[in-house]
Amino acid sequence: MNRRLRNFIEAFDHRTGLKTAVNHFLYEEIPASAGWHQVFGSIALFLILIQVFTGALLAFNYAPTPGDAYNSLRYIVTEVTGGRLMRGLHHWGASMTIVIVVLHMVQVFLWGAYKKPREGTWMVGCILLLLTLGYGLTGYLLPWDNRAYWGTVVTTQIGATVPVMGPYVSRLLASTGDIGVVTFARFYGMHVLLLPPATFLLIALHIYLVRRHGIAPAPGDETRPRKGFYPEQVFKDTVAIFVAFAILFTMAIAVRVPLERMADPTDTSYIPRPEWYFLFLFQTLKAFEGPLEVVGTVILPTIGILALMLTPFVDRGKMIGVRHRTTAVGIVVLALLGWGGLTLAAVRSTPPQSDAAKIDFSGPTQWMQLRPGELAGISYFRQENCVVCHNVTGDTPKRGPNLSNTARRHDAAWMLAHFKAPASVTPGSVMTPVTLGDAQTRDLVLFVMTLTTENADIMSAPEFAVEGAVLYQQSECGGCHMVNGIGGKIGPVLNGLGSRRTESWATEHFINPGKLSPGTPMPPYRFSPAEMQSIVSYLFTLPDNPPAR
Amino acid sequence: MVGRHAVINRLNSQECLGQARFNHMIRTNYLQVHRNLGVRFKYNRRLQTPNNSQPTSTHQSAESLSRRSFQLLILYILSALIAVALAIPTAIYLLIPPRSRKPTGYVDAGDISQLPMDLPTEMTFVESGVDGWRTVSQKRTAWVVKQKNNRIVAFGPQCTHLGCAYHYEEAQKHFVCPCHASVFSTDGSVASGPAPRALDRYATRVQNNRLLLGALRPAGNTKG
Repeated sequence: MNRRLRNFIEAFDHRTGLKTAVNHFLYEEIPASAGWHQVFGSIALFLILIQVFTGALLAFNYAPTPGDAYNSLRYIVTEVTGGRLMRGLHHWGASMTIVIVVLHMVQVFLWGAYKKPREGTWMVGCILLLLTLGYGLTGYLLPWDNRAYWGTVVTTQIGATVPVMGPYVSRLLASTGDIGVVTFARFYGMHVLLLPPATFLLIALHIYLVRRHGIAPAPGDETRPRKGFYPEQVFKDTVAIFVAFAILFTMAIAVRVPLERMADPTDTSYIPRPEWYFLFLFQTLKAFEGPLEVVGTVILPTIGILALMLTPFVDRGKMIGVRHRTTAVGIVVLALLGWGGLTLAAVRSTPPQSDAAKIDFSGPTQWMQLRPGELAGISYFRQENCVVCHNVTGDTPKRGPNLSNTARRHDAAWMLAHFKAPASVTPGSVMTPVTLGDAQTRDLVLFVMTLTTENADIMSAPEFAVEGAVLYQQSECGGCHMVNGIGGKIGPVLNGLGSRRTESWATEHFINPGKLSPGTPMPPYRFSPAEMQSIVSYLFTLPDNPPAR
Repeated sequence: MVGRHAVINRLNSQECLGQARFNHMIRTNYLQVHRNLGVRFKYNRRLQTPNNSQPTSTHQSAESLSRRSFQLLILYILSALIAVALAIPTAIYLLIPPRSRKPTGYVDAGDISQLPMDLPTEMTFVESGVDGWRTVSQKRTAWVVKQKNNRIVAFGPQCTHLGCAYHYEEAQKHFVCPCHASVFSTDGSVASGPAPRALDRYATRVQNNRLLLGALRPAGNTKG
C-alpha cells in the first residue's frame, strides 16, 4: 500500500507543491538554545484560531442587534445544547489570549529577541497586541447586558476625550448620542469583519519575519549544533498548547460566565466596570481630573504604546544572555507590580453591585420558576422563623420534622388547619400557631408544599424577589396577569417582560398605566420607592417562558 | 581542569565547528574565543563521562531515534485529543436540537356550534410558537369537518404529497390539491393522485363548543 500512497503523494506534490511547502516549513533549523521558553507564540496562534472557531459557531445562533443580541445569547446559554460551553470557550479564550500574548511579549523582551534585525517582527507584534485588545473592547458590547452596555459607554466616552480627534472618534463609533443600534452594528462589524482579516494578515507577516530572520539565538549558540524545529520544538509547542487548551476547557465548563439583565440605558444604579485586563487603565484615569483627564485617557497610553514599539531602537546593545539582562528583568518586574497594584486598587474600590444587578440570567434558577404565591411564602417562612425548628435540607435533626417532601405526607387543607392550630390535627404538637392572615397562610402552605429534597436551592431566593412577590400577591396582580403559568388572562402575561420592556418603563407604567398603555383597565399603583424597586426587579427576573409543571 | 589545548583539540574534533571557522575565531578575537571556551568547558564536562566521551554514531542515533518517535507519538496523541475535544462539542452544538421551551398544548381554534354537517370549513387561528430565541404568533389553518356521527375531524392544511395548500371543491365534494392534482375525500383518505397517504390530522378536543387543536399527526393509513 505504501508504494501507491507514496506515488500519490509524490504526484500530488508535483502538482501542488504542498508537501514541499510543509517540509520547508517544518524542517527548519533553530538555535540550540531554543526550547520551552519559546512556546508562547504558538499558543497565542492556537488560541486565536480557537476564538475564530468558537466565534463563528456562536454567530450561528446570534442576532447582532441590541435586544435580540441579548435574547439570542440567552437562548444560546440556556437552550442550545452545548451553547454554554461554546460561550465559555469564547469568553475565557479571550482572556487567555490576552494573557498568552502578553507572556509572549515578556519572553521576547526578557531575552532581547527584538534586537537587530528583528525590529520589524517586534513592531508587528505590538500592533497584534493592540488588535487583541481591540477584540476585547468590541466584543465586550456584544452580549448587550448591563455590564456590556455600561462598560462600552465608558469606553466611548474615553474615545471622545482624544484631543482634536475626539468628535470624529465619537462619530465613527456613532456614540455621540446614546449607544444604540448603530454603535452596536459598528462594534459587531469591527469584531467580526475588520479585525479578523487584519489579524491574519499581520500574523502572516509576523510569522514570515520570524522565518526570515530565524529564531533569535542566545549567546553561545554560534558554537553549538543547531537543531530541528520538527519534531523537537513542535513537540514542546504541542505540549504547551495542550496544557493551555486543557485549562481553557476546564474553565469553560467549571466557571460560569454570567449574563446580567438586558442593557438598560436608564438604570442609574449600575456601576460599570471594564474587563479585568483594562482595569489598570480604568484606575489610572482616576488619578487625573478636569483638564488633566486627557493625560490618563490618551497621553499615558500613547506613551506606553510608543515606548513598547520603539524598544528595539532604544536598546541597541549586543545580544547577551537573559541572566545578564537585569535592566529588562527590572522593567518587567516594575511593570508587573504597577499593573498588579492598579488592578488590585480598582478591584478594591469597586462597590458591590446591588442584589438585583447581580442576578445571573444565564441559566434558569429554581426560585425564578416559583409561582408568585410560593415565592411570597418564603417571606412568611422567614418571618415566622420556621427554620428554628425545621430543616429544609438534610442537616442535623431539629425539634420539628424535616419539611422537604411535605406534599407527599399531607395535603394543603391539612397544612392550613395545622398552621392555624397545630395540636388540633397533630395531637401533642408543641408547634406555635402561625400569626399570619388567611391569604398569607395560604401562600406559606403553597411554599411548604413545593419543597422537595431536590429544590432546597429555592431558599436562596434574594430578598428583593421575595418582597416583590409579596407585593404582587398583596396587590392581587394575579387576578389579571399570568406569571409562571398561573393567574388571570385579562392583562398580558408577565413572563418575558424583561425582554419586552425596560425597568424604567415598568416603573412608570405602575405609576401611570394609562399614559403608556392607553385604554388599559389597570389602576395606578402607589408603591414606595423601595417597594417599586422590589416588584419591578422581581418581575424582571421571571423566565421568558413559563416553566412546564 | 582540562588544559586549553585539550579543549581546542576536542573542539576541532567536533563536527559543528569547522577548522576554518575556529581559526577565524582565534584570529579575530582571542577573548571572545576564550569566553566561548568557558562555555565549552561546561558543555564538555557533561560529555566527558566514559560512556559519552567517544559516543559511537550508532548508539547516538538509536537514542535520538527513540526520542524522536516518542515525541511524535505524544504530538499526535495530544493533537488528536484537542481535535476530539473540539469536534464533539461542535457536533452537539450544531446537531442536537435545542431544549424546547414549552410542551405544545392545545390552541383554541374557534367556535364550532354553527359548523355545518359534513361540509369542510377552513378555520384560521393564531398560535404562539417559538422561533429560536423569539416567541412568535403564527396564523395557522385547519380544514374542519363535522362528520355524520358528530365527530369533529381537523385536517392539516397541506397536501401530503409535496406540501401545497389544497382547497375544497364544493362541486366534487373533495379536497383538491392544485399542484399535482391529488384528490382527498372529506374523511381525508386519498381518492386519486400522487399523494402517498391520507391528510394529516390535528389532535382535537371540544370544550364548551370551542374547538381545541393539538399536535398535527399523520392519520395512519386510511387509504382505500
